[in-house]
This record gives sequence, structure tokens and C-alpha cells, in this order.
Amino acid sequence: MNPLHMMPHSMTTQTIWLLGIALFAVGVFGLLARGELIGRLIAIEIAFNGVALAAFAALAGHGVAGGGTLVLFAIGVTVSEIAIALAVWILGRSAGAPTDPDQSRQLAAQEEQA
Amino acid sequence: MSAVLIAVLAFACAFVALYAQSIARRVVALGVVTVAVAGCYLELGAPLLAALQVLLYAGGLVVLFGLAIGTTGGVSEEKLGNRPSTIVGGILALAILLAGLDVMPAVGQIPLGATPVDVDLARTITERPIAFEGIGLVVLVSVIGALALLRGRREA
Repeated sequence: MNPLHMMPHSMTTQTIWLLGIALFAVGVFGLLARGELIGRLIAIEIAFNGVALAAFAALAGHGVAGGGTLVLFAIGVTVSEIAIALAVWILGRSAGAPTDPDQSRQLAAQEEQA
Repeated sequence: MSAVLIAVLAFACAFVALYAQSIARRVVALGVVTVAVAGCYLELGAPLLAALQVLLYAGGLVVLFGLAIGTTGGVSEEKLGNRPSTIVGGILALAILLAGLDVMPAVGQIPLGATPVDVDLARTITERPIAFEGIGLVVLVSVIGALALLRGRREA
């Protein structure tokens, strides 16, 4: 079967919903597959973009005019979260801490034992 | 047709943002994803939201990522797939995709740009300015908090 035949003839809110879900899935995969903190932050951003897009498409698909405000509030919260996370990352880097959160946790456990 | 191209670009760049070994390439790919998502908002009939997405994400967050990487001199480059949780991530991503496909028929099938959908956003900004300013306040407080953290580092 030609995959091009599966492509919708006209893009609808359902197609955008599917793109949002696909971006969310890619972000979740990256969050678990990436080790270092900056990679995880990028994955979180991709996942968040996907969720916001899917939510907006779903609301628009039902004719609900509330998606814009919802997404704007969510963007504000995410920008705040990333600003703090990047500051923590810079602090960790300048202190010579490992960039992988799992390694940091292991180190902290070893220090506690010692 | 442009919406299809935007969707393909967003999805491809999301993979580049995860798979590229160079951190700079990953950040640039993230920038392209955010701009492509803004294009989707535009196609959905929400130009105001698209503009805000470009301003806050591509103009703010991606630049912030770039500055952070520039300040610290980048990170060690790690290959994707070297962790045991990669398989769990793959299974979870597949489950999310299947669930999304399952729910898709419940999402209304309205052609893109058929109705203006960000009228409510313009109304929120004009009629409820305190709520809109509240978002700015949250961002401002977090930026001050981040600066305070970095100031502590300099003093130490």
C-alpha cells in the first residue's frame, strides 16, 4: 500500500491532533532515552509543544474557543520552568557536577554512605 | 499542502533534536520545531497564538538554551540508545501514539482555518488584563529566581 494514499486530502484538526500526539511521543521517548539534563530539557520542550498543539487542535475541533488562553498560560509556566532548570544546570556545570541526573544521584548516595 | 510540509518538518526536526550528537544542532532543531508548531497554530486560524509562540519559544527559550550552552562551553556528547530506559521509552512512545490514534475520531474534523479560534485569546488580553499580566508576572518571578541562583554561584 502506498503510504502517500493514507495522507489526508485536506488537513483538518484531526491531522494536527495526530502531529501533536506524535511530538509528545517523541518527547517522552527522548526524556527516557537521553541521559544528560540538557537533552532531557529539550525532550520536555518537544513533549510540551506536542501536548499544547494536541489540546488546542482538540478544542478547536469541537468549536471551543478557549484553547488559546489555555496554551498561553501553559507556555508561560513552561518558560518559567525552563529558566529555573537552566540556571540549576549552569550551577551544576560550574560546580563540576555530572550532567547526567542519574549519575548525580549515584554520587550523592555514595557520598552519604561515605 | 503547506500544513503537511509544516507537520513533516516539525516531526523530522523533533527527531534531529533528539538524535543529533552536537548540542548546538539539537538546540537549532528545537527552534525549528517551535517555529513549525507556530505554523500549525497559524494554519488552525490562531495568528495571535502563533506570534506569541514564536516570541516566547523561538525568541526567548531557544536563545536562553543557546546562551546557557555558550556560557558553560557545551556538554559531553552522548549517543542515543546507550541507556536501558531507551527500550521503555520506545514502548511508552508507541503506546502514546496508539492511544492518540484510538482517540483521534473523537476529535472534531474541522478543516484548518475554517473558523477564527483565537478570538478568546484577544478577548482575554483586552478584557482580563490582570490575568494576562499574571502570566508575565510568573515568568518575571522565575527569571529573578534564576538570576538569584546564578548570583549565588558567582559569590561562592
